[in-house]
Amino acid sequence: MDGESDEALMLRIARGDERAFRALAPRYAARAASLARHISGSEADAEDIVQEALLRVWINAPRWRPEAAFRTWFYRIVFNLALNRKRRAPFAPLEAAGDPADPAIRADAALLRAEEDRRIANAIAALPARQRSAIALTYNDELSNAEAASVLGTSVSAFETLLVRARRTLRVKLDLTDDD
Amino acid sequence: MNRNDDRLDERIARYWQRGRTADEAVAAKVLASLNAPLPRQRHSLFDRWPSLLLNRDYAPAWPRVAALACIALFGCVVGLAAPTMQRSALASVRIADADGSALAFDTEPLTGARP
Repeated sequence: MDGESDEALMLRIARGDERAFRALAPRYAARAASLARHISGSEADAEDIVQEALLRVWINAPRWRPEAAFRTWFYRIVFNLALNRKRRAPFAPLEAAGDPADPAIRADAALLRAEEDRRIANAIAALPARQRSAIALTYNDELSNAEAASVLGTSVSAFETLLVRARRTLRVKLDLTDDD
Repeated sequence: MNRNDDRLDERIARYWQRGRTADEAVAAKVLASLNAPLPRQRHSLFDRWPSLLLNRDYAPAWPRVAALACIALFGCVVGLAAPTMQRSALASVRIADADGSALAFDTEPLTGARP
């Protein structure tokens, strides 16, 4: 079952095959968690979002049409749930409390790494929701622009504009401008 | 893409990579919770009716269904054209065209009550 494509598994899930669902879910759970965490800005929310998204896949599988790639369909569910969650709750900056120290590396390196992570996290968190989503889709799963645009429900050119604006803002916030 | 774009990509990719452990922990928790019995799937009636018919050994061939639809259509056309009715009978059919608004808007002639 591991070698089967997502779409083949989905066809089996649509017929109520739980084993196929349990084979498909692990393929995307971690990446969905990452996407949800970066869009919603909360690890606790990410867990709820991924769980709900996977349950929606199971419940609505009979309505899924093979014309749509499973990956973009699933990420669209995650994206919509994360945006809804973010609209409901005020945003808490990602990793505001900092990372626990990693015993495997030296303390000063850990501090530098945590500081860099915090800066990037804050810069991404400060982006408007759609720009943040564009960044998350691009770096999370290396989706093509066409796939990411489909997840966001927009055109490829509009997605590229979002990405350019997001990158420009991030470059400024992370001091990566030309005079750097 | 200039040098700054490369550096930005590199930093974001590194940052993303470092979050993988947390994401995998979240994924493991979610997958563990999915070991519980799954809820019922949602089927639309439109998706199910062919199989429901097949389950009852009712599987008409499409040419027969098409022939039945054609006959039904023909019956409607004949019924609407009414070829068996006399022209005089058709002429006597009168569609209500009287102005009934007086019933609703005029005052009552005896009592003078207004509607």
